[in-house]
Amino acid sequence: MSADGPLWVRAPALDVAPRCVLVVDGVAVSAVAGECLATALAASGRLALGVSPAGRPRGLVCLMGTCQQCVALVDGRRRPTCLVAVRDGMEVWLTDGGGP
Amino acid sequence: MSGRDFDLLVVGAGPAGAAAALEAAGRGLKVGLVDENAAAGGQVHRAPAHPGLNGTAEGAALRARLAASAVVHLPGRSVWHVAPGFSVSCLSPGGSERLSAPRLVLATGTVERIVPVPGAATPGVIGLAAATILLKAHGTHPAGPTVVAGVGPLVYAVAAGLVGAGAAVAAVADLAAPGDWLRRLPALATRPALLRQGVGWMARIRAARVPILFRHTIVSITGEDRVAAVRLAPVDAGWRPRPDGHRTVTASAVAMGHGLIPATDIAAALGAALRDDADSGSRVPVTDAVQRSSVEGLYLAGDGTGLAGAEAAAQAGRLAGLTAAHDAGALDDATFHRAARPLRRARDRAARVGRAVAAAMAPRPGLLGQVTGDTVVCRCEDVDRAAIEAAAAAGARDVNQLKSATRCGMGPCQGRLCGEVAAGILAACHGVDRGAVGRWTVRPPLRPVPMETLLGDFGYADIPKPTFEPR
Repeated sequence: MSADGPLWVRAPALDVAPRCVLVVDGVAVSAVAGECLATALAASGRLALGVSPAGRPRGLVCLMGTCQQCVALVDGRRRPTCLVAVRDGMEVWLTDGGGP
Repeated sequence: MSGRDFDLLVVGAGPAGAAAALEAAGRGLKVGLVDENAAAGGQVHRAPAHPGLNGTAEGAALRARLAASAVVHLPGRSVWHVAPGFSVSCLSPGGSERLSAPRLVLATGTVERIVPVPGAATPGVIGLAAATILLKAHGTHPAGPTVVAGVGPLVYAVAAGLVGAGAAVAAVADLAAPGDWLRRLPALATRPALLRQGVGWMARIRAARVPILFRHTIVSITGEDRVAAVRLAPVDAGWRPRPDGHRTVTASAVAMGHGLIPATDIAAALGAALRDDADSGSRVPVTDAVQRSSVEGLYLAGDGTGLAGAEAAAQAGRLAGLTAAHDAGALDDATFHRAARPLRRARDRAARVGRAVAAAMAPRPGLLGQVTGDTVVCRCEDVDRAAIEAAAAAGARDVNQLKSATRCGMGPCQGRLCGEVAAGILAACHGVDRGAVGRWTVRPPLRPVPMETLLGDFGYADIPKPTFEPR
Protein backbone atom coordinates (compact mmCIF):
# COMPACT_ATOMS: atom_id res chain seq x y z
CA MET A 1 0.00 0.00 0.00
CA SER A 2 1.37 3.44 -0.85
CA ALA A 3 1.98 5.71 2.12
CA ASP A 4 -0.43 8.43 1.02
CA GLY A 5 -3.67 6.55 0.36
CA PRO A 6 -5.38 3.62 -1.27
CA LEU A 7 -4.16 2.26 -4.62
CA TRP A 8 -7.70 1.89 -5.99
CA VAL A 9 -10.81 3.97 -5.30
CA ARG A 10 -14.57 3.74 -5.77
CA ALA A 11 -17.03 6.10 -7.44
CA PRO A 12 -19.15 8.09 -4.92
CA ALA A 13 -22.26 6.45 -6.46
CA LEU A 14 -21.18 3.22 -4.77
CA ASP A 15 -21.26 4.73 -1.26
CA VAL A 16 -24.89 3.66 -0.90
CA ALA A 17 -24.49 0.32 -2.69
CA PRO A 18 -25.37 -2.82 -0.73
CA ARG A 19 -22.26 -4.62 0.48
CA CYS A 20 -21.33 -8.22 1.11
CA VAL A 21 -18.44 -9.82 2.95
CA LEU A 22 -16.00 -12.33 1.47
CA VAL A 23 -13.23 -14.24 3.21
CA VAL A 24 -9.95 -13.83 1.31
CA ASP A 25 -7.01 -15.89 2.56
CA GLY A 26 -8.83 -16.09 5.89
CA VAL A 27 -9.43 -12.31 6.14
CA ALA A 28 -12.87 -10.63 5.89
CA VAL A 29 -13.09 -8.30 2.86
CA SER A 30 -16.04 -5.99 2.16
CA ALA A 31 -17.25 -5.84 -1.46
CA VAL A 32 -20.00 -4.15 -3.46
CA ALA A 33 -22.81 -6.65 -4.04
CA GLY A 34 -22.97 -7.59 -7.71
CA GLU A 35 -19.42 -6.63 -8.69
CA CYS A 36 -16.91 -9.13 -9.97
CA LEU A 37 -14.44 -10.69 -7.59
CA ALA A 38 -11.39 -9.30 -9.42
CA THR A 39 -12.65 -5.75 -8.83
CA ALA A 40 -13.38 -6.45 -5.17
CA LEU A 41 -9.85 -7.80 -4.69
CA ALA A 42 -8.27 -4.80 -6.44
CA ALA A 43 -10.39 -2.35 -4.44
CA SER A 44 -9.15 -4.03 -1.24
CA GLY A 45 -5.55 -3.39 -2.35
CA ARG A 46 -4.91 -6.96 -3.55
CA LEU A 47 -3.28 -6.45 -6.94
CA ALA A 48 -0.94 -9.46 -6.92
CA LEU A 49 -3.32 -12.40 -7.34
CA GLY A 50 -0.99 -15.20 -8.39
CA VAL A 51 2.59 -16.02 -9.33
CA SER A 52 4.23 -16.97 -12.60
CA PRO A 53 6.29 -20.19 -12.92
CA ALA A 54 9.39 -18.13 -12.08
CA GLY A 55 7.72 -16.78 -8.96
CA ARG A 56 6.92 -13.29 -10.24
CA PRO A 57 3.68 -11.65 -9.03
CA ARG A 58 0.81 -11.47 -11.53
CA GLY A 59 -2.40 -9.44 -11.45
CA LEU A 60 -5.53 -8.85 -13.51
CA VAL A 61 -5.01 -7.72 -17.11
CA CYS A 62 -8.08 -8.06 -19.33
CA LEU A 63 -11.08 -8.31 -16.96
CA MET A 64 -13.02 -10.29 -19.59
CA GLY A 65 -12.06 -13.91 -19.00
CA THR A 66 -9.28 -14.15 -21.57
CA CYS A 67 -5.94 -13.66 -19.84
CA GLN A 68 -6.38 -16.10 -16.93
CA GLN A 69 -3.98 -13.99 -14.84
CA CYS A 70 -6.60 -13.32 -12.15
CA VAL A 71 -7.39 -16.96 -11.34
CA ALA A 72 -7.96 -17.77 -7.66
CA LEU A 73 -9.47 -20.62 -5.68
CA VAL A 74 -13.13 -19.61 -5.24
CA ASP A 75 -15.24 -21.83 -2.98
CA GLY A 76 -12.91 -24.71 -3.79
CA ARG A 77 -12.69 -24.17 -7.57
CA ARG A 78 -10.05 -22.40 -9.66
CA ARG A 79 -11.91 -19.59 -11.45
CA PRO A 80 -10.96 -16.40 -13.31
CA THR A 81 -12.04 -13.90 -10.64
CA CYS A 82 -13.20 -11.42 -13.31
CA LEU A 83 -15.99 -13.83 -14.30
CA VAL A 84 -17.20 -14.52 -10.75
CA ALA A 85 -19.79 -12.27 -9.09
CA VAL A 86 -19.12 -11.74 -5.38
CA ARG A 87 -21.43 -13.38 -2.88
CA ASP A 88 -21.77 -13.08 0.89
CA GLY A 89 -19.56 -15.66 2.61
CA MET A 90 -17.57 -16.50 -0.53
CA GLU A 91 -14.29 -18.18 0.38
CA VAL A 92 -11.33 -17.08 -1.74
CA TRP A 93 -7.73 -18.24 -1.67
CA LEU A 94 -5.18 -16.45 -3.81
CA THR A 95 -2.73 -18.77 -5.47
CA ASP A 96 0.46 -16.90 -4.51
CA GLY A 97 1.72 -19.58 -2.18
CA GLY A 98 -1.25 -19.21 0.17
CA GLY A 99 -4.30 -21.42 -0.07
CA PRO A 100 -5.65 -24.18 2.13
CA MET B 1 -23.52 -33.26 -18.75
CA SER B 2 -26.98 -32.08 -19.63
CA GLY B 3 -27.99 -31.55 -23.27
CA ARG B 4 -30.29 -28.95 -24.88
CA ASP B 5 -31.35 -28.63 -28.48
CA PHE B 6 -31.96 -25.42 -30.44
CA ASP B 7 -32.56 -24.38 -34.07
CA LEU B 8 -29.76 -21.84 -33.72
CA LEU B 9 -27.05 -21.21 -31.17
CA VAL B 10 -25.34 -17.83 -30.88
CA VAL B 11 -22.04 -17.48 -29.03
CA GLY B 12 -21.44 -13.99 -27.64
CA ALA B 13 -24.11 -11.57 -26.40
CA GLY B 14 -22.51 -8.31 -27.50
CA PRO B 15 -24.12 -6.04 -30.11
CA ALA B 16 -23.65 -8.60 -32.92
CA GLY B 17 -24.69 -11.76 -31.07
CA ALA B 18 -27.70 -10.21 -29.33
CA ALA B 19 -28.96 -8.76 -32.64
CA ALA B 20 -28.51 -12.12 -34.38
CA ALA B 21 -30.40 -13.95 -31.64
CA LEU B 22 -33.26 -11.41 -31.59
CA GLU B 23 -33.64 -11.44 -35.38
CA ALA B 24 -33.65 -15.24 -35.68
CA ALA B 25 -36.04 -15.65 -32.75
CA GLY B 26 -38.31 -13.02 -34.31
CA ARG B 27 -38.40 -15.20 -37.46
CA GLY B 28 -39.55 -18.19 -35.43
CA LEU B 29 -36.33 -20.04 -34.66
CA LYS B 30 -35.67 -21.54 -31.25
CA VAL B 31 -32.50 -19.64 -30.30
CA GLY B 32 -30.00 -20.16 -27.48
CA LEU B 33 -27.67 -17.23 -26.73
CA VAL B 34 -24.52 -18.29 -24.87
CA ASP B 35 -22.33 -15.69 -23.18
CA GLU B 36 -19.43 -15.62 -20.75
CA ASN B 37 -20.69 -12.56 -18.87
CA ALA B 38 -23.46 -12.32 -16.31
CA ALA B 39 -25.48 -9.87 -18.45
CA ALA B 40 -25.77 -9.23 -22.18
CA GLY B 41 -24.17 -6.23 -23.88
CA GLY B 42 -20.66 -7.44 -24.57
CA GLN B 43 -17.77 -5.22 -23.53
CA VAL B 44 -18.97 -2.08 -25.36
CA HIS B 45 -22.40 -2.11 -23.67
CA ARG B 46 -21.33 -3.86 -20.49
CA ALA B 47 -24.05 -3.87 -17.82
CA PRO B 48 -23.22 -1.77 -14.75
CA ALA B 49 -22.72 -3.85 -11.60
CA HIS B 50 -24.76 -1.33 -9.57
CA PRO B 51 -27.79 0.80 -10.54
CA GLY B 52 -25.97 3.95 -9.38
CA LEU B 53 -23.54 3.60 -12.28
CA ASN B 54 -24.57 4.67 -15.76
CA GLY B 55 -24.34 2.04 -18.46
CA THR B 56 -24.95 2.90 -22.13
CA ALA B 57 -28.54 3.50 -23.24
CA GLU B 58 -27.96 1.01 -26.09
CA GLY B 59 -26.96 -1.63 -23.54
CA ALA B 60 -30.07 -1.12 -21.43
CA ALA B 61 -32.29 -1.24 -24.53
CA LEU B 62 -30.60 -4.39 -25.77
CA ARG B 63 -31.07 -6.17 -22.43
CA ALA B 64 -34.74 -5.11 -22.28
CA ARG B 65 -35.37 -6.44 -25.80
CA LEU B 66 -33.70 -9.75 -24.97
CA ALA B 67 -35.73 -10.10 -21.77
CA ALA B 68 -38.96 -9.52 -23.70
CA SER B 69 -38.01 -11.94 -26.49
CA ALA B 70 -38.25 -15.70 -26.95
CA VAL B 71 -34.44 -15.98 -26.98
CA VAL B 72 -33.13 -18.41 -24.36
CA HIS B 73 -30.32 -16.35 -22.83
CA LEU B 74 -27.64 -18.53 -21.26
CA PRO B 75 -25.24 -16.15 -19.45
CA GLY B 76 -22.24 -17.06 -17.28
CA ARG B 77 -21.11 -19.82 -19.64
CA SER B 78 -17.61 -20.15 -21.08
CA VAL B 79 -17.49 -22.16 -24.31
CA TRP B 80 -14.64 -24.68 -24.10
CA HIS B 81 -15.40 -26.83 -27.13
CA VAL B 82 -17.43 -26.65 -30.33
CA ALA B 83 -17.81 -29.79 -32.42
CA PRO B 84 -18.95 -29.67 -36.08
CA GLY B 85 -22.61 -29.99 -36.62
CA PHE B 86 -22.81 -28.17 -33.97
CA SER B 87 -22.34 -29.23 -30.40
CA VAL B 88 -21.27 -26.52 -27.97
CA SER B 89 -19.75 -27.49 -24.62
CA CYS B 90 -19.85 -24.79 -21.97
CA LEU B 91 -18.46 -24.41 -18.52
CA SER B 92 -21.18 -22.98 -16.29
CA PRO B 93 -21.25 -22.31 -12.55
CA GLY B 94 -23.25 -25.53 -12.19
CA GLY B 95 -20.75 -27.69 -14.10
CA SER B 96 -20.54 -28.53 -17.78
CA GLU B 97 -23.40 -28.28 -20.23
CA ARG B 98 -23.73 -29.40 -23.85
CA LEU B 99 -25.95 -27.47 -26.25
CA SER B 100 -26.64 -28.42 -29.83
CA ALA B 101 -28.09 -26.84 -32.96
CA PRO B 102 -27.69 -27.36 -36.73
CA ARG B 103 -26.76 -23.69 -37.11
CA LEU B 104 -24.31 -21.52 -35.20
CA VAL B 105 -23.58 -17.80 -35.14
CA LEU B 106 -20.19 -16.80 -33.71
CA ALA B 107 -20.06 -13.24 -32.39
CA THR B 108 -17.07 -13.52 -30.10
CA GLY B 109 -15.66 -10.03 -30.61
CA THR B 110 -12.04 -9.25 -29.93
CA VAL B 111 -9.24 -9.47 -27.43
CA GLU B 112 -6.95 -6.53 -26.77
CA ARG B 113 -3.43 -6.48 -28.16
CA ILE B 114 -1.03 -5.54 -25.39
CA VAL B 115 2.53 -5.25 -26.71
CA PRO B 116 4.73 -5.74 -23.65
CA VAL B 117 7.77 -3.85 -22.36
CA PRO B 118 10.03 -4.69 -19.41
CA GLY B 119 7.84 -4.64 -16.29
CA ALA B 120 4.52 -4.80 -18.16
CA ALA B 121 3.54 -7.96 -16.26
CA THR B 122 3.74 -6.09 -12.93
CA PRO B 123 0.43 -6.12 -11.01
CA GLY B 124 -1.30 -2.79 -11.59
CA VAL B 125 -0.63 -2.79 -15.34
CA ILE B 126 -3.99 -3.42 -17.01
CA GLY B 127 -5.41 -3.28 -20.52
CA LEU B 128 -7.29 -0.24 -21.81
CA ALA B 129 -10.39 -2.40 -22.31
CA ALA B 130 -10.14 -3.59 -18.70
CA ALA B 131 -9.84 0.03 -17.53
CA THR B 132 -12.97 0.90 -19.52
CA ILE B 133 -14.90 -1.96 -17.90
CA LEU B 134 -13.72 -0.90 -14.44
CA LEU B 135 -14.79 2.71 -15.00
CA LYS B 136 -18.12 1.99 -16.71
CA ALA B 137 -19.39 -1.20 -15.09
CA HIS B 138 -17.73 -1.20 -11.69
CA GLY B 139 -17.14 2.44 -10.74
CA THR B 140 -13.78 1.29 -9.42
CA HIS B 141 -10.38 2.36 -10.70
CA PRO B 142 -6.74 2.98 -9.82
CA ALA B 143 -6.35 6.05 -7.65
CA GLY B 144 -3.32 6.93 -9.72
CA PRO B 145 -1.21 8.55 -10.79
CA THR B 146 -1.87 6.40 -13.86
CA VAL B 147 -0.08 6.42 -17.20
CA VAL B 148 -2.48 5.77 -20.09
CA ALA B 149 -0.73 4.60 -23.24
CA GLY B 150 -1.17 2.87 -26.57
CA VAL B 151 -3.23 3.68 -29.61
CA GLY B 152 -6.86 4.24 -30.55
CA PRO B 153 -9.92 5.93 -29.07
CA LEU B 154 -9.72 3.85 -25.88
CA VAL B 155 -6.59 5.79 -24.85
CA TYR B 156 -8.66 8.98 -24.63
CA ALA B 157 -11.79 7.27 -23.30
CA VAL B 158 -9.80 5.83 -20.38
CA ALA B 159 -7.80 9.00 -19.65
CA ALA B 160 -10.97 11.14 -19.74
CA GLY B 161 -12.81 8.56 -17.63
CA LEU B 162 -10.11 8.61 -14.97
CA VAL B 163 -9.98 12.42 -14.94
CA GLY B 164 -13.77 12.54 -14.69
CA ALA B 165 -13.66 10.14 -11.74
CA GLY B 166 -11.24 12.45 -9.96
CA ALA B 167 -8.20 10.19 -10.42
CA ALA B 168 -4.76 11.49 -11.29
CA VAL B 169 -3.43 10.79 -14.79
CA ALA B 170 0.35 11.17 -14.93
CA ALA B 171 0.56 11.23 -18.72
CA VAL B 172 -1.15 10.11 -21.90
CA ALA B 173 1.17 8.53 -24.49
CA ASP B 174 -0.36 8.02 -27.95
CA LEU B 175 1.55 6.16 -30.67
CA ALA B 176 -0.38 8.11 -33.27
CA ALA B 177 0.33 11.71 -34.23
CA PRO B 178 -2.51 14.26 -34.54
CA GLY B 179 -2.12 14.02 -38.32
CA ASP B 180 -2.97 10.30 -38.23
CA TRP B 181 -6.41 11.22 -36.89
CA LEU B 182 -6.88 14.31 -39.11
CA ARG B 183 -6.38 12.10 -42.15
CA ARG B 184 -9.39 9.97 -41.06
CA LEU B 185 -11.55 13.03 -40.49
CA PRO B 186 -13.68 12.69 -43.64
CA ALA B 187 -14.84 9.21 -42.61
CA LEU B 188 -15.26 10.18 -38.95
CA ALA B 189 -17.30 13.25 -39.89
CA THR B 190 -20.07 10.97 -41.18
CA ARG B 191 -20.72 10.05 -37.52
CA PRO B 192 -20.71 13.46 -35.77
CA ALA B 193 -21.71 11.94 -32.42
CA LEU B 194 -18.51 9.87 -32.33
CA LEU B 195 -16.45 12.88 -33.33
CA ARG B 196 -18.06 15.03 -30.62
CA GLN B 197 -17.33 12.34 -28.05
CA GLY B 198 -13.65 12.31 -29.02
CA VAL B 199 -13.39 16.09 -28.88
CA GLY B 200 -15.08 16.03 -25.45
CA TRP B 201 -12.57 13.51 -24.09
CA MET B 202 -9.68 15.60 -25.34
CA ALA B 203 -11.08 18.77 -23.76
CA ARG B 204 -11.51 17.08 -20.40
CA ILE B 205 -7.96 15.69 -20.44
CA ARG B 206 -6.49 19.06 -21.41
CA ALA B 207 -8.56 20.89 -18.76
CA ALA B 208 -6.97 18.64 -16.12
CA ARG B 209 -3.55 19.70 -17.49
CA VAL B 210 -2.59 16.10 -18.22
CA PRO B 211 0.40 16.01 -20.59
CA ILE B 212 -0.55 14.37 -23.90
CA LEU B 213 2.50 12.96 -25.66
CA PHE B 214 1.85 12.15 -29.32
CA ARG B 215 4.11 9.65 -31.08
CA HIS B 216 5.22 8.27 -27.71
CA THR B 217 5.20 4.87 -26.09
CA ILE B 218 6.07 3.24 -22.77
CA VAL B 219 9.50 1.59 -22.91
CA SER B 220 9.70 0.23 -19.37
CA ILE B 221 7.77 -0.06 -16.12
CA THR B 222 9.56 -0.42 -12.80
CA GLY B 223 8.32 -1.67 -9.45
CA GLU B 224 8.33 -5.01 -7.64
CA ASP B 225 4.79 -6.12 -6.82
CA ARG B 226 3.26 -2.82 -7.92
CA VAL B 227 4.05 -0.04 -10.37
CA ALA B 228 6.48 2.64 -9.17
CA ALA B 229 7.63 4.48 -12.31
CA VAL B 230 7.09 4.48 -16.07
CA ARG B 231 9.64 5.40 -18.74
CA LEU B 232 8.30 7.03 -21.89
CA ALA B 233 10.04 7.47 -25.23
CA PRO B 234 9.21 9.14 -28.53
CA VAL B 235 8.66 6.81 -31.50
CA ASP B 236 9.39 7.21 -35.22
CA ALA B 237 6.68 7.09 -37.90
CA GLY B 238 6.86 3.27 -37.84
CA TRP B 239 6.31 3.35 -34.04
CA ARG B 240 9.87 2.22 -33.18
CA PRO B 241 11.08 3.83 -29.92
CA ARG B 242 13.82 6.42 -30.43
CA PRO B 243 16.98 6.10 -28.34
CA ASP B 244 16.84 9.68 -27.03
CA GLY B 245 14.29 12.01 -25.51
CA HIS B 246 13.18 9.53 -22.83
CA ARG B 247 11.50 10.74 -19.66
CA THR B 248 10.48 8.96 -16.45
CA VAL B 249 7.23 9.67 -14.62
CA THR B 250 6.13 8.50 -11.18
CA ALA B 251 3.03 6.33 -11.39
CA SER B 252 1.23 3.64 -9.40
CA ALA B 253 -0.78 2.19 -12.27
CA VAL B 254 -0.68 1.79 -16.04
CA ALA B 255 -3.47 1.24 -18.56
CA MET B 256 -2.06 0.25 -21.95
CA GLY B 257 -3.36 -1.32 -25.16
CA HIS B 258 -2.39 -1.44 -28.82
CA GLY B 259 -5.57 -2.15 -30.68
CA LEU B 260 -7.89 -5.12 -30.93
CA ILE B 261 -7.40 -8.62 -32.30
CA PRO B 262 -10.46 -10.53 -33.58
CA ALA B 263 -11.18 -13.62 -31.47
CA THR B 264 -11.26 -16.30 -34.13
CA ASP B 265 -10.34 -19.46 -32.25
CA ILE B 266 -13.72 -21.22 -32.51
CA ALA B 267 -14.13 -20.38 -36.21
CA ALA B 268 -10.57 -21.56 -36.89
CA ALA B 269 -11.12 -24.78 -34.95
CA LEU B 270 -14.22 -25.46 -37.08
CA GLY B 271 -12.14 -25.06 -40.23
CA ALA B 272 -13.56 -21.76 -41.47
CA ALA B 273 -11.50 -20.14 -44.25
CA LEU B 274 -9.45 -17.16 -43.06
CA ARG B 275 -8.06 -14.06 -44.75
CA ASP B 276 -5.35 -11.53 -43.86
CA ASP B 277 -6.70 -8.41 -42.19
CA ALA B 278 -4.30 -5.46 -42.26
CA ASP B 279 -6.37 -3.32 -39.87
CA SER B 280 -6.01 -5.78 -36.99
CA GLY B 281 -2.69 -7.19 -38.14
CA SER B 282 -4.10 -10.71 -37.89
CA ARG B 283 -6.17 -13.26 -39.82
CA VAL B 284 -9.96 -13.24 -39.71
CA PRO B 285 -12.66 -15.60 -41.00
CA VAL B 286 -14.01 -14.99 -44.50
CA THR B 287 -17.70 -14.04 -44.67
CA ASP B 288 -19.98 -13.65 -47.68
CA ALA B 289 -22.24 -10.61 -48.21
CA VAL B 290 -24.84 -12.00 -45.78
CA GLN B 291 -22.47 -13.25 -43.00
CA ARG B 292 -22.10 -16.91 -44.00
CA SER B 293 -18.69 -18.47 -43.35
CA SER B 294 -17.09 -21.09 -45.59
CA VAL B 295 -18.49 -23.80 -43.27
CA GLU B 296 -22.09 -24.89 -43.87
CA GLY B 297 -24.42 -23.65 -41.11
CA LEU B 298 -21.76 -21.41 -39.55
CA TYR B 299 -22.34 -17.65 -39.54
CA LEU B 300 -20.08 -14.89 -38.24
CA ALA B 301 -20.75 -11.31 -37.20
CA GLY B 302 -19.15 -8.43 -35.37
CA ASP B 303 -15.56 -7.38 -34.79
CA GLY B 304 -14.49 -11.03 -34.76
CA THR B 305 -14.73 -10.86 -38.58
CA GLY B 306 -12.63 -7.68 -38.84
CA LEU B 307 -12.73 -4.42 -36.89
CA ALA B 308 -15.73 -2.30 -37.87
CA GLY B 309 -17.18 -1.10 -34.55
CA ALA B 310 -20.32 -1.65 -32.49
CA GLU B 311 -22.86 -0.15 -34.88
CA ALA B 312 -21.65 -2.22 -37.84
CA ALA B 313 -21.57 -5.27 -35.52
CA ALA B 314 -25.24 -4.83 -34.61
CA GLN B 315 -26.28 -4.59 -38.29
CA ALA B 316 -24.10 -7.57 -39.26
CA GLY B 317 -25.51 -9.55 -36.34
CA ARG B 318 -29.07 -8.88 -37.40
CA LEU B 319 -28.17 -9.94 -40.93
CA ALA B 320 -26.53 -13.15 -39.65
CA GLY B 321 -29.71 -13.99 -37.72
CA LEU B 322 -31.83 -13.28 -40.80
CA THR B 323 -29.61 -15.43 -43.05
CA ALA B 324 -29.64 -18.30 -40.56
CA ALA B 325 -33.44 -18.10 -40.40
CA HIS B 326 -33.64 -18.13 -44.21
CA ASP B 327 -31.25 -21.08 -44.52
CA ALA B 328 -33.32 -22.92 -41.90
CA GLY B 329 -36.38 -22.47 -44.14
CA ALA B 330 -38.13 -19.91 -41.94
CA LEU B 331 -38.50 -17.38 -44.79
CA ASP B 332 -38.56 -17.54 -48.59
CA ASP B 333 -35.92 -16.12 -50.91
CA ALA B 334 -37.87 -13.00 -51.88
CA THR B 335 -38.62 -12.04 -48.27
CA PHE B 336 -35.01 -12.71 -47.32
CA HIS B 337 -33.53 -10.52 -50.05
CA ARG B 338 -35.98 -7.73 -49.31
CA ALA B 339 -35.10 -7.78 -45.59
CA ALA B 340 -31.37 -8.25 -46.14
CA ARG B 341 -30.83 -5.28 -48.47
CA PRO B 342 -31.28 -2.44 -45.93
CA LEU B 343 -29.28 -4.36 -43.32
CA ARG B 344 -26.36 -4.78 -45.72
CA ARG B 345 -26.44 -1.08 -46.54
CA ALA B 346 -26.58 -0.05 -42.87
CA ARG B 347 -23.77 -2.46 -42.02
CA ASP B 348 -21.51 -1.17 -44.79
CA ARG B 349 -22.20 2.47 -43.99
CA ALA B 350 -21.34 2.00 -40.29
CA ALA B 351 -18.31 -0.15 -41.15
CA ARG B 352 -16.73 2.68 -43.16
CA VAL B 353 -16.33 4.69 -39.95
CA GLY B 354 -15.28 1.69 -37.88
CA ARG B 355 -12.66 0.71 -40.44
CA ALA B 356 -11.26 4.25 -40.55
CA VAL B 357 -10.69 4.09 -36.79
CA ALA B 358 -9.23 0.57 -37.07
CA ALA B 359 -6.85 1.63 -39.83
CA ALA B 360 -5.49 4.44 -37.64
CA MET B 361 -4.83 1.83 -34.93
CA ALA B 362 -3.33 -0.82 -37.23
CA PRO B 363 -0.03 -2.05 -35.84
CA ARG B 364 3.10 -0.72 -37.54
CA PRO B 365 6.32 -2.72 -37.89
CA GLY B 366 8.34 -0.70 -35.35
CA LEU B 367 5.89 -1.43 -32.52
CA LEU B 368 7.69 -4.65 -31.63
CA GLY B 369 10.83 -2.54 -31.08
CA GLN B 370 9.61 -1.78 -27.55
CA VAL B 371 9.78 -5.53 -26.75
CA THR B 372 13.39 -5.84 -25.53
CA GLY B 373 15.20 -9.16 -25.05
CA ASP B 374 14.41 -9.33 -21.33
CA THR B 375 10.71 -8.45 -21.82
CA VAL B 376 8.32 -11.19 -20.73
CA VAL B 377 6.16 -11.95 -23.80
CA CYS B 378 4.26 -14.99 -22.47
CA ARG B 379 3.18 -14.16 -18.92
CA CYS B 380 1.73 -17.58 -18.18
CA GLU B 381 5.04 -19.37 -18.84
CA ASP B 382 7.58 -16.55 -18.29
CA VAL B 383 8.97 -16.66 -21.84
CA ASP B 384 10.92 -13.53 -22.83
CA ARG B 385 11.84 -12.21 -26.26
CA ALA B 386 15.41 -13.52 -26.00
CA ALA B 387 14.04 -17.07 -25.55
CA ILE B 388 11.85 -16.66 -28.65
CA GLU B 389 14.81 -15.41 -30.67
CA ALA B 390 16.96 -18.29 -29.42
CA ALA B 391 14.29 -20.78 -30.52
CA ALA B 392 14.09 -19.07 -33.91
CA ALA B 393 17.89 -19.27 -34.26
CA ALA B 394 17.70 -22.97 -33.33
CA GLY B 395 15.29 -23.58 -36.20
CA ALA B 396 11.72 -22.81 -35.06
CA ARG B 397 10.02 -21.39 -38.17
CA ASP B 398 6.38 -21.90 -37.23
CA VAL B 399 4.49 -20.68 -34.16
CA ASN B 400 3.70 -24.24 -33.10
CA GLN B 401 7.39 -25.15 -33.27
CA LEU B 402 8.05 -22.07 -31.14
CA LYS B 403 5.45 -23.30 -28.65
CA SER B 404 7.07 -26.74 -28.42
CA ALA B 405 10.53 -25.23 -27.99
CA THR B 406 9.73 -22.54 -25.40
CA ARG B 407 6.23 -23.26 -23.93
CA CYS B 408 5.26 -19.78 -25.24
CA GLY B 409 1.46 -19.81 -25.56
CA MET B 410 1.10 -23.09 -23.70
CA GLY B 411 -0.18 -21.63 -20.42
CA PRO B 412 -3.75 -21.10 -19.22
CA CYS B 413 -4.48 -18.18 -21.60
CA GLN B 414 -3.43 -20.44 -24.50
CA GLY B 415 -1.63 -17.63 -26.26
CA ARG B 416 -4.59 -15.26 -26.42
CA LEU B 417 -2.56 -12.57 -24.68
CA CYS B 418 0.88 -13.16 -26.24
CA GLY B 419 0.24 -15.14 -29.42
CA GLU B 420 0.24 -12.36 -32.01
CA VAL B 421 3.23 -10.58 -30.40
CA ALA B 422 5.22 -13.83 -30.26
CA ALA B 423 4.29 -14.60 -33.88
CA GLY B 424 5.39 -11.10 -34.92
CA ILE B 425 8.76 -11.54 -33.21
CA LEU B 426 9.26 -14.96 -34.83
CA ALA B 427 8.40 -13.51 -38.24
CA ALA B 428 10.85 -10.63 -37.67
CA CYS B 429 13.60 -13.14 -36.74
CA HIS B 430 13.20 -14.84 -40.11
CA GLY B 431 12.51 -11.64 -42.06
CA VAL B 432 9.12 -12.90 -43.25
CA ASP B 433 5.49 -11.74 -42.99
CA ARG B 434 3.31 -12.71 -40.03
CA GLY B 435 1.37 -15.12 -42.27
CA ALA B 436 4.53 -17.14 -43.07
CA VAL B 437 4.96 -18.34 -39.47
CA GLY B 438 1.60 -20.11 -39.43
CA ARG B 439 -1.34 -20.22 -37.06
CA TRP B 440 -1.44 -21.43 -33.49
CA THR B 441 -3.17 -24.80 -33.46
CA VAL B 442 -6.49 -24.48 -31.61
CA ARG B 443 -7.52 -27.48 -29.55
CA PRO B 444 -10.17 -28.02 -26.90
CA PRO B 445 -10.50 -27.13 -24.13
CA LEU B 446 -10.70 -23.52 -25.40
CA ARG B 447 -10.87 -22.40 -21.77
CA PRO B 448 -9.33 -24.12 -18.73
CA VAL B 449 -11.85 -26.67 -17.43
CA PRO B 450 -11.61 -28.20 -13.94
CA MET B 451 -11.05 -31.96 -14.17
CA GLU B 452 -13.99 -32.70 -11.85
CA THR B 453 -16.27 -30.78 -14.23
CA LEU B 454 -15.18 -32.90 -17.19
CA LEU B 455 -15.68 -36.08 -15.21
CA GLY B 456 -19.10 -35.06 -13.86
CA ASP B 457 -20.70 -37.94 -11.96
CA PHE B 458 -18.30 -40.45 -13.49
CA GLY B 459 -16.54 -42.26 -10.64
CA TYR B 460 -13.77 -44.76 -10.15
CA ALA B 461 -16.29 -47.61 -9.88
CA ASP B 462 -17.59 -46.76 -13.40
CA ILE B 463 -14.27 -47.67 -15.02
CA PRO B 464 -14.74 -51.00 -16.80
CA LYS B 465 -12.25 -53.49 -15.40
CA PRO B 466 -10.83 -56.11 -17.76
CA THR B 467 -11.39 -59.67 -16.61
CA PHE B 468 -8.88 -62.38 -17.41
CA GLU B 469 -10.29 -65.10 -19.56
CA PRO B 470 -9.34 -68.66 -18.78
CA ARG B 471 -7.02 -70.15 -21.40
